[in-house]
Amino acid sequence: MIPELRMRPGEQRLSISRKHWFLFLQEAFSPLIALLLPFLAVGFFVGSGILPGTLFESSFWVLFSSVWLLSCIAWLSTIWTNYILDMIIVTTQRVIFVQQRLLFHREVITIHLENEQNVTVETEGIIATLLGFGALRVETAGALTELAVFDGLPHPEQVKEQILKQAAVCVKEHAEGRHPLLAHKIRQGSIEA
Amino acid sequence: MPTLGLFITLGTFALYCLYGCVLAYHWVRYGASFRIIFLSFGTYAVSGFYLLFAMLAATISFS
Repeated sequence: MIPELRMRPGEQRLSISRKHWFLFLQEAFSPLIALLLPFLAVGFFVGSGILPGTLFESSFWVLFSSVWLLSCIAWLSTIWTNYILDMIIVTTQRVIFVQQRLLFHREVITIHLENEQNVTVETEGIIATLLGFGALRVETAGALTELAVFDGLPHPEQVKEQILKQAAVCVKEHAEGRHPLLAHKIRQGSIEA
Repeated sequence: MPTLGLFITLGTFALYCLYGCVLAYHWVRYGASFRIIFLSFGTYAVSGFYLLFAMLAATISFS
């Protein structure tokens, strides 16, 4: 269970979105090139006669290439882990931004929908426009204004609409005293109706 | 030479396994789905063991 997915009383999960797959490919480009590089380089030198053709059969080459491949696989797995753990969760009460910056650097921003002030979508570049992904920014109202940004979100307009729609419901419920959390507390008797 | 080869093989594999545990901890702790954990761990483990056997075979052929 994702720690951020523990719902509050009366709260329901509406959607979970991860970054667009293109961003993973973009990040994975360097290790993929690194993975092939020694094979291409040695292949070139063997082909041009600088290195002997028997090099590929030698134990030294098998050891070196295996260590190199394992390092590249570990590097790719780190990028994959950072990719799959980045997500934006929309619930009936909150928007939760989860960003796995590095393996041991995790950032979670929670914005309560009744505090949401402004939702912006930004699509920049040809590829982002063609593949339909962009950045989503949610800004809060109040003395301590907070800005949460999620880059590379697929179909950001749909998520924006969902947030705005749910925020309107949330504000209305709050104004009428029917907010799910308030209703739960009233039922529990911790506050008066 | 076989001793050096064995040292490199086992050292690399120990580090690879340790790093695999760190990654698996993240996948489980931060809630990737079962399918993602299965595929990620499967790919990592299969490629690791395949290369370990290649390295062991190379180390043995040193002698």
